[in-house]
Amino acid sequence: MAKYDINELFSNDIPHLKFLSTADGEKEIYDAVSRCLRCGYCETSCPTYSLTGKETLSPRGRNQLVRKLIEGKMKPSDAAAEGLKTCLLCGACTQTCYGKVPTADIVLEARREMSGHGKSLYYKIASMLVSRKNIYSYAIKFLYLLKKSGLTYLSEKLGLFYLLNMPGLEEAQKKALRTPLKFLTEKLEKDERLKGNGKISWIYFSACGTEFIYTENGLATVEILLMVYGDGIIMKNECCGLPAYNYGSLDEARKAARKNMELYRNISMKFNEAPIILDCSSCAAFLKSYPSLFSGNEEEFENAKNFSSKVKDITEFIKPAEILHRLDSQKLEGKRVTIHDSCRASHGQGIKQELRDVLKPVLKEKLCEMPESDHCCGGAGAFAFTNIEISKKILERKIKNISSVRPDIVIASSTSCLMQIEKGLKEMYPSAKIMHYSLFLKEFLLKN
Amino acid sequence: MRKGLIKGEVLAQLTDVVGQENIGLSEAELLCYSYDASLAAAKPCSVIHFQDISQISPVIKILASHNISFTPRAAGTNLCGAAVNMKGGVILNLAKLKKIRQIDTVSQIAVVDPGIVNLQLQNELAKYGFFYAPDPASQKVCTIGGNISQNAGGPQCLKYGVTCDHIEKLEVVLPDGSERIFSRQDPGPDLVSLFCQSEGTLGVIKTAWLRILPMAKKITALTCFFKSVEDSMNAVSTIIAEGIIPRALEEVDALSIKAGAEKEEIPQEAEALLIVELEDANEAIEKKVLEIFSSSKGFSYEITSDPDKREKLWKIRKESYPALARIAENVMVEDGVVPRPMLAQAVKRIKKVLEENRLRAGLVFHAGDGNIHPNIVFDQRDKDETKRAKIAGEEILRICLELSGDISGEHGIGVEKRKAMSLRYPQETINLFYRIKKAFDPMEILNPYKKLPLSSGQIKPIDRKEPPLTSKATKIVNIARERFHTKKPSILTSQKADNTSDKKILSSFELTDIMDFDKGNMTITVESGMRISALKKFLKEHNLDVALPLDETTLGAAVALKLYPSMRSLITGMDLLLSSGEVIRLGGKTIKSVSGYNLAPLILGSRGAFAFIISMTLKVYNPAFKEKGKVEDPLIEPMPNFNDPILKNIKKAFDPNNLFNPHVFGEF
Repeated sequence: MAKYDINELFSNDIPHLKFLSTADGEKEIYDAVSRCLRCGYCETSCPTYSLTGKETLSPRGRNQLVRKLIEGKMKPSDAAAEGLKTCLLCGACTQTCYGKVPTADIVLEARREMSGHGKSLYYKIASMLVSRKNIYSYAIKFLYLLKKSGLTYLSEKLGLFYLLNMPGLEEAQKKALRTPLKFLTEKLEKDERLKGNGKISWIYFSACGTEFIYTENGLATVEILLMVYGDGIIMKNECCGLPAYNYGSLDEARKAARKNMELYRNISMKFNEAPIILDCSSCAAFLKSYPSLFSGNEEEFENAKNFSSKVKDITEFIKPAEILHRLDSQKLEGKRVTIHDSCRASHGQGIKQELRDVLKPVLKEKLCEMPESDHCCGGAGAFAFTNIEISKKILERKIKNISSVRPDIVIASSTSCLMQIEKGLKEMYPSAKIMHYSLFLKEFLLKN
Repeated sequence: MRKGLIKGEVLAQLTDVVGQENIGLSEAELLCYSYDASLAAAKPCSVIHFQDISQISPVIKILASHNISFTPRAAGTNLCGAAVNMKGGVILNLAKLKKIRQIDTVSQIAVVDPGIVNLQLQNELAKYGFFYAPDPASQKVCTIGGNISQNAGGPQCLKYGVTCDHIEKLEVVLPDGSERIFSRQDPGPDLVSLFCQSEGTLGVIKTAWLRILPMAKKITALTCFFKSVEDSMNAVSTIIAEGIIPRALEEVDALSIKAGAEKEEIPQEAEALLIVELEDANEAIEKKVLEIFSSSKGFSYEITSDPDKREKLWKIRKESYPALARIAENVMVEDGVVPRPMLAQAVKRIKKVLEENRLRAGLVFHAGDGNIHPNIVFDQRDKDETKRAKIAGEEILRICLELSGDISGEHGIGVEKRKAMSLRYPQETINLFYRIKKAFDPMEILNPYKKLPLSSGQIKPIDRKEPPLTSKATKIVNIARERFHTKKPSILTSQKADNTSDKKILSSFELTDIMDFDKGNMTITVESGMRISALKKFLKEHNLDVALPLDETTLGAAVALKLYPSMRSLITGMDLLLSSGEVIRLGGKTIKSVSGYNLAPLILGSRGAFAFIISMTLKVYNPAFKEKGKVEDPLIEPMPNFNDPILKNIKKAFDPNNLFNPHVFGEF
């Protein structure tokens, strides 16, 4: 594998993924980044390049930066860091790329190298946050997620709450736009229908965003699963590990992954093998990428492969044949609907057609496709408050595209998008509201 | 030149114009602007990000006043290094200048900024049922400014012509920072065409007025597999020789088919795939193409007008490059062009070269215009393999030249093909190109060291087997030489006159020979004294025609006076005699060529003040397969403004001693 010694030059102090998974199999980071031919076909797909016209903020630029860093031809610098930190990790470039260069993964590895656990990025922006209300509440929600998803050390270590004048989490909760009084799992635990008597046909994985913020989406998903697919159970899972992977350390991410894989193993032994269903596309995509966390360790890699093969995003799981007869558009009262394809659904998992196959026959001409439906909304996890200006402009573009088809409802499938677009609509196009796919199905289409 | 060039006073002045945040000086930024899509690389000293087209001129004025070189760049998808600053100067980043200023469907014009992406413009035009014809493969990312600078082609150019044929007007910023507008309507030499293909070495494009066209109502795609590339090439030649003008005529070889077709079912023995697209065609033409498929031993052909099915048929062609990119670290996209009947021979020899150098390549062709793209796969980190790829690349260009072809059909020269320019052109032609460059950029600060070889006279050009000059033409060349030595001026004419050297006249009256007639290629090379009517009469005997009205004027006079401005797109080659007695042979029999500067259109309307036209190569067509266009009335142009300093400088580049038609420019 290591045809070029330079792969080993990449420092070992910071834990990295041994191999990145690419369309062309497992590759060491230097081999993966060398696949960039500099053809530039990715440029227009990149939200940050489209916005700025700057090569440093383009996928090709980022790959060349990382390549030169690895080759030792360039020293880490603030400007290089800017190129790397502004990447949304949306994956649109890889989708367009002929060689399928995994730019987002490459950028993540380089971030780990340059700033350890991403500490410096948080510090820099924190002072800016205080004066911006919207970003502020977004940040709080996000940090709240970090905390609840078990990454207490991260939020605390970063001193963000302190910088935000928020010494305690309780305070933060009060400021959040909406936080449910009871979390999803608590509510579902009491549901008799989910006790799992006999054979199960699905396992619900409660993503942190759904668990702590958008509880109603989770309830909707579970209702649909029960109604259409029969018995299933709640996984009582850990955080999927994505925040740790993106902003923390690989070890933390691996820990989370091991726990979840263990949980699944136990469930499948007690009951039977069944698909693991999520209603947050970011988490679903990450669960599907577990194998790359364990690349280089054959046994765990195989385990992860088996686990991730069971993972299904709710947007792909529901098939028209199973649900169409239960849907009608009466309750919709002529409302116009559009779909925002979350990056981690469309670029991360290749899901785009599936939900349209369900919605189109029911909504017909009321499904109005917005332009650039798979262009990032600028949420991208912590991006919205680590790169405030860029995020804002990308969001403006998204809202402009949304408003161009005059919808009443925008459908999305990832927590980060729900938060970001909710914020954008409120500010710029209040006549539309954002809804998760499951909630939309349940509220508007499912016949009683 | 390099670090620290942009500081102190210069930096302060630039900051005043674009703001500090738009001047990139960091190591990371310089790295990101050190490359384009080619293998060429050189680190600039700074990057200037423009936010508005009004900033271009003031910035260039500042740079010029400090003698700092600069290179315009937009998407950076150039395949020959044209967007890299070889002198370590400044990169002008025009990528953000992407406004569409106007779409006028009545006069069929779109006015755009240089950074607008080709496909974004197309999408906008489609809303009104219009399109912009040049469609390079990279249209998703490449910009109109870049397209113009490279004179970009694309599959559709077979029918519609390359970028140059679709530019109506250009606003440019010259290397000293002054702004000029050049229009097709300007009387006299065609400067718009000169800017197309100049690779950003003459001026920076600020605004472009583009010709837009209504979309075709019906497009039919016909595809066919062949057991050998030779068979498919025969089909191509027959289609061309029949005079059928498809909208696109594309071919893919076996490796590319297999790379491109992941799931599609491909016949086992398929060695080549041909795609022919016809626009608003009647059944007779479709039938004819199918007949040609069958007589060229093609098999499993398909025909469809359904847009979805058409896209499916195109998929293999479109997917071939991407698929190659997946199987290798690097793909070198070579770009050669030959007269169409030479395609089969070219392919055979190219394959041999690849084999000898132990290289893999997928061959993709714009077969209709003789343009071949061998996509050589290699790993840049493997020094030996890279070297072999480069050797093979050069060898492929030699083959194209030996077959009367050219070294670039649409990608350009930039840095990567400077050496090949010496193989292509004799020194006197390169010197003329260089003088043209200096006419616009005397300080050589705009995109320096591009397009022209750095060394002179070290490499012997390859014999392109051009038809030799006739004895009558040679006689005129000798007279011009004699007069040059004694600095005697000449009056150029097409009227009958005595050319003996003691007189003042240089007449093309006797130059009436047909130097080459290539029916398979649909071109004819004729001397300039031939009358249009005589040419049409000759062609009629072969059931062909030339897109010019019946006229008793000679071809040379029609060009020199620009009687028919549309001749610009009929001419593929021109032999010129300079007042120095040097013979310059531009272009040739290839339908596309972007090597060197686009000089032939300058002669159009030059009133004999630049050069004596010896002969020209023209495209011909089969009237049976082409609608009769409007008959053009000869244009009687007002006298061009020969006091224009640019025209004067160009005159000096062609004729420094003012020996040809000296009255036109007067004293200078």
